[in-house]
Amino acid sequence: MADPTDARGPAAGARMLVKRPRGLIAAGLVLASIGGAPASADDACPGLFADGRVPVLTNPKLAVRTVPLCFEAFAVLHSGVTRTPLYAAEHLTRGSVAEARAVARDDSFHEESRLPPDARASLEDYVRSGFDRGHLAPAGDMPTVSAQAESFTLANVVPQNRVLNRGLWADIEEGVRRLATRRGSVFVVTGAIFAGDAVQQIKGGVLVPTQLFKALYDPETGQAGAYLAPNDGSRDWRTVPIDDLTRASGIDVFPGLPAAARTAALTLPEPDASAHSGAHRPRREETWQDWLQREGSRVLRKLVHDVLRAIF
Amino acid sequence: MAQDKRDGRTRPSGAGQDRFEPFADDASVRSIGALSFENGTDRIVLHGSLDLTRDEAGLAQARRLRETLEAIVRALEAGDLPEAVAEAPEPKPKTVRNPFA
Repeated sequence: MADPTDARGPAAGARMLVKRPRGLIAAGLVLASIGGAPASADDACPGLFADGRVPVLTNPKLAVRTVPLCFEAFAVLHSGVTRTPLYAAEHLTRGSVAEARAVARDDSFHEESRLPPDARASLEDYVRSGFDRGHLAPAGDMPTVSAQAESFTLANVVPQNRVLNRGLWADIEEGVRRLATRRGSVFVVTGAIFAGDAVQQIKGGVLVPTQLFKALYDPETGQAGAYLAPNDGSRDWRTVPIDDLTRASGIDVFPGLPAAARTAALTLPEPDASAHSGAHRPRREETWQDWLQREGSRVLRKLVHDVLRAIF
Repeated sequence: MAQDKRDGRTRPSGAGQDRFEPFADDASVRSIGALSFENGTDRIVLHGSLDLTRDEAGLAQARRLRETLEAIVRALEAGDLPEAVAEAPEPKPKTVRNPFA
């Protein structure tokens, strides 16, 4: 209350009176936007979506207790039923990927304070759950330090199989960044699928997706397609056309896509573990056989050397 | 103004609390290139990979790596360690009806 910079006098009092009601109105707006289904002005960020159009939930059950949230470099639709995002949308460009490569820093997973506590996941829910905190919009895509910090909100996280998160999914994410670098501009929607009669639930009521998808749209060519993978350690991924993804997920990720582009899947790169690295690519390609031969002969040389030393 | 806690178990989500202190919390993450150290009170998990290049950037990253590992070793040496921490998830995930089926 005591603000030393505040000028004393009638004007200061009047300013206080003006300030108070404004705070109340703001609080009311926040509550209204959380309670109601439609997005408020704050939760619209059309630049992150293909043709500025948000995905359409074709399974109406998915829409229950959802809240759209915009962040600097991604947008999510969060579900209070699963306490996870249903999808995260991003627009990757050659420039944004190049900037993301340079970001190196400390961050923190955190609860999403814009969501009510009874709709969001807590840090505690994931601790010793046996699952990784899997980003939908990956930290490695974030072009700025502040965008990267935001990507660690639990509103962008699902319980993900550890092997999948650290293996195949990381490979797919890296492949998508390379694709965006090659093509110049790609819209990406990453999402969670809850399929079957029963699903798994960890602490705090957080539901575990049965599958994950990553859908891509190239605005230059009008082509689209998606990776689809079970949330387990099998690496049993496939690519599907957008129509198939809509059937599997209950989400039409690119509603602006013409019919012809929905049934033919864009050829997506094979997820490749060797594609990983930070800013730099390997100088030359080395095959498995090269490596095996080199390491094999090194071990053999050392063995012979050691044996000779032991004898003499 | 916002109630940032649930059951009083968690710390506020505000920025500025991101310093990576090994085993101090279950939230902080240090990124070095595409390699990340995910902090935990009973384990630190390393994900991703890193090219340490023979240049200035590589040197800076190698130093950061050494500093991070030294801090982890110091934290482990300072503690009274059990033989092994629990491996199994607790509690086990429950099977529930799919609300979207």
